[in-house]
Amino acid sequence: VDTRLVLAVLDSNNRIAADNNGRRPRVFIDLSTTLNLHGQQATGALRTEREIARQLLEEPRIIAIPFVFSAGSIRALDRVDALRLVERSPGPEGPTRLRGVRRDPFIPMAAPAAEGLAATLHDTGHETFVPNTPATAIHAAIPARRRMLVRAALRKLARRTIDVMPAASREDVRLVLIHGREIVRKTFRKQPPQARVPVTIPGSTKASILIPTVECPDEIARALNATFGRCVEIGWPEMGEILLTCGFYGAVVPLRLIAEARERVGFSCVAICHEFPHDKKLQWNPEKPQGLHYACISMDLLDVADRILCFSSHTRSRLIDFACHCGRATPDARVIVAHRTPAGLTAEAALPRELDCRRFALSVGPVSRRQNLGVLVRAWEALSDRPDFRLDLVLVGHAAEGDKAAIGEVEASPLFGRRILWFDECPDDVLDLLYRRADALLYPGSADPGISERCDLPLAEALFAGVPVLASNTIEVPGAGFVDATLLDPGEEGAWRKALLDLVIPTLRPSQPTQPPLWDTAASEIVSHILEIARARSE
Amino acid sequence: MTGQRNILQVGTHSTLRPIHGGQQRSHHIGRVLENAGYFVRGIAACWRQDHDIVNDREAILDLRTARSVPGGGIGGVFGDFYHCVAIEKDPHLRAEFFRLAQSARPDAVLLEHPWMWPLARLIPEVEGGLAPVIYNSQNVEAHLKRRLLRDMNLDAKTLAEAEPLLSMVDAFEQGVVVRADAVTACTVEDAQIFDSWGSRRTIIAGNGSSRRPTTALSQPYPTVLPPNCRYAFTVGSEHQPNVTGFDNLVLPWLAMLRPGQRVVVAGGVSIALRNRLAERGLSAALEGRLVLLGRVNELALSALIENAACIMLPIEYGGGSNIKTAEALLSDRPIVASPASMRGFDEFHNLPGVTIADGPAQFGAAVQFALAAGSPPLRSPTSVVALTWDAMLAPLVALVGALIEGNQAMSNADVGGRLPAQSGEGHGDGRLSEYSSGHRHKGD
Repeated sequence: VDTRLVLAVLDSNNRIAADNNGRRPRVFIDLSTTLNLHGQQATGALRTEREIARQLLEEPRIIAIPFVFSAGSIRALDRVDALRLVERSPGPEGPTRLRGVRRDPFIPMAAPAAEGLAATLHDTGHETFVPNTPATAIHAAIPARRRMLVRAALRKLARRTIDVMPAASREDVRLVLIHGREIVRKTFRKQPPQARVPVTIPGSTKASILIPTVECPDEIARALNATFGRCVEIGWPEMGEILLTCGFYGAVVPLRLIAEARERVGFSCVAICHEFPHDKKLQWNPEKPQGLHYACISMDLLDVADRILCFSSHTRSRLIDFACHCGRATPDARVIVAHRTPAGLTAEAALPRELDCRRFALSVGPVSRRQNLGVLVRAWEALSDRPDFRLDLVLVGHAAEGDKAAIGEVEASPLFGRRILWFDECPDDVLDLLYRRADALLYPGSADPGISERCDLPLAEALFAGVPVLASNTIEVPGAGFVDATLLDPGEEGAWRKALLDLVIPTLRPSQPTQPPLWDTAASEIVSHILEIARARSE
Repeated sequence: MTGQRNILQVGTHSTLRPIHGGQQRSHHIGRVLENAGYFVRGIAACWRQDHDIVNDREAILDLRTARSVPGGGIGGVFGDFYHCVAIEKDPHLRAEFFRLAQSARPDAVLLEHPWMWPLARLIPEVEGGLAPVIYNSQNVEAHLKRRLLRDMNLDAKTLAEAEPLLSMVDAFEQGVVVRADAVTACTVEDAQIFDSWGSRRTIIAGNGSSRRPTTALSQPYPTVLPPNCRYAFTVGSEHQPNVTGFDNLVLPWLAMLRPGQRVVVAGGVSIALRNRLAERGLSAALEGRLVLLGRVNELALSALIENAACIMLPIEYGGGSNIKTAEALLSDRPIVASPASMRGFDEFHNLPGVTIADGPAQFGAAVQFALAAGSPPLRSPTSVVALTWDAMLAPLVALVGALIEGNQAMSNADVGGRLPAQSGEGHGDGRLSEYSSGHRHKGD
């Protein structure tokens, strides 16, 4: 394929030819992660790529060519399609999904206290919750706490049953159990299951998009074919051109392939690293083979980029330490200020009804051992019987693949689905509302610095919304100077319990909203780096 | 040699189209004996494969036709131990074995692995003492099986079940060693063990290889490799030590490979590795670093060796010696070898381009150095000529001749480069028990 010819064809939509006077660098903007994870909770690399791309696609100082990787080749996106892709996830069309809890009909999970609670509620503007479905005879006959324990025990039993099955029949057993559960529910509740709403791309002519898995980058091709009929295969950027990628995580972006093409062709590459969580000593451990995966993508990041832009000095120093440990040259890593902009509220955005009339603390991010949510679960289990602890825990984030222990820790709790609610799908505007309504953002983080995760994005967004933050002292709090967070030792569970109790004291006042730099500032910084590299190459 | 001498090769794998190391050794033994003028016939009691050749030269007693084949448990580690049982318990196969043995009219029986001994010893010529039996060992079976079991991470119950079988295999092999007229070992270490068990005669006939054709094979890369890619190459069968060695010595540093560098694996081991990596969810992560080719034909293998930046020998244990080591030494490529992979090749440690690396860190550093380095130092053909099959198996040919001819002066004869000339030093028990210069057998 003649790359230039293809790009010329795209000119009519991308306005490349008219703008290309030879002075502005051509920048290939990678949107593979955005496409591949479209519809998922936009955190981390996905949020970064999306927000930066949205800014850069409109940036007049560069010629932006949005593209995605598909089976090792580059496919340019029509600019209109690219802009649709980086739009924030749908608001009213995209429902929240509450993990482990049947949503329709709504079964009350915790009877709100009849008295005293109203005084402590936020002014939500919503009426106090009234259960809209009467409890079934079985529910009425069994005390709530016993029901809860039975449910937890059954869940545990089912999980154990699946685990002990031979690998070949495990999936079948799981499906049998799921169907069995549905039969029981239908029998006793006599309500049809709620249909899943397909994920849609706003403005797309297609009804739905196939959400590919991270494991198989080739799925991108199918998603492309299903959604973006106009995208075409092009070649690598040419010498003097620049490729921008945020695709450090997962196996979506073939960083190694880019690195080899870069050495062969001579284009430049700028990589954005929103965090670098890995311990510098990545030892091979057959018991934890995923370490090799992390080592590979970390090395690829070092090999692929002419310049790596980090969101904090902490990330930069970890990156450099890692490079040094692995015998690689010190990377040209620069720090740009962490930038956050919560999604704008839409008129239709509303709290999930399960949270009406509730006070809650929020934890945002993939449910994984890096989040160390066990600290919170145990704290809730210890405090939930106290009449003065009227705070629920709301988790927002998908289940980290393969992290069964961390997921099980949450789901096995007797409070799961009752006082601990887990939304594994949550549109941006609803999340924004959650930030505003939450009593606090909680991030216990791992005590092991080797796996602890920086969560500057949710932290900053919470601070932006004026929500107090309780976070682990093992993480680096972003944007020192505008952050007001209480830092606790993740191993000191008593301190966490005490801090949580303090949260429910009505006199506690949320911190003042702060105004961190916005994404457009970040994009502007990134463009400056791109221009600097382009200038250096042309000279 | 006067008149036609017949040799019957009895084993538990076919030899005419050799794939794995055991087959290759048996194949070349048959070949060099034929070249020496012997008339060789073979009986292979095994699961017949589609690629197997069956003709007058070698008959296959196909276990698929057996009434029952025990020993499939415990990861199949003891499967070969039961091959003979399966043949023995099936009247048709048993009769066929003796019919074939009778038609071979052997002057000597070459026992490939010990497993067929219970039937081989009943061959009339053997029972009558007319045909000496040479046990051609490839390793010390019980020792290897014990290590294989340890690598398989079996539960305590299975291990407990395996323990009596290990003892049985140990006793069985010791019995074969004592009763055979001679034993051939691949290494000095194996030979010492056989001697300690009471072998009548022990010689070393190590594993060798053949020089591969290299003309016009420079640069035709497989399409899965990018242009100008530099790669470290290894080849091996699905034998457990190959898999474990790769796991322990190569996987730990694979992430460190730079762009344009690869590790390329060919042979059955790559199939086992593919499954193992997929189970661990590492297939995608290693894309662009690891190329698993599966089984390749001889021409492709020659091309892969010829174009490799270095050849890796990541073996941590196992009996006998490794054919792939001889093959690598016979090429002019740089070699990164573990100490265990050089068993039986002590005198080649200091050849140009040979790096012995112990542990994954050293191994990885040596491979990465080789990948980054320029042209390799050439080894002169004369420095490795002793590694060809013909040279390595010369002592075996001489031993067969000596046994058949009943030449009692065998103990003083020069039976090849691997046996030191110890003229005048006779052994009271008639054993050939000198392995290397300065090393003498306990019975001496």
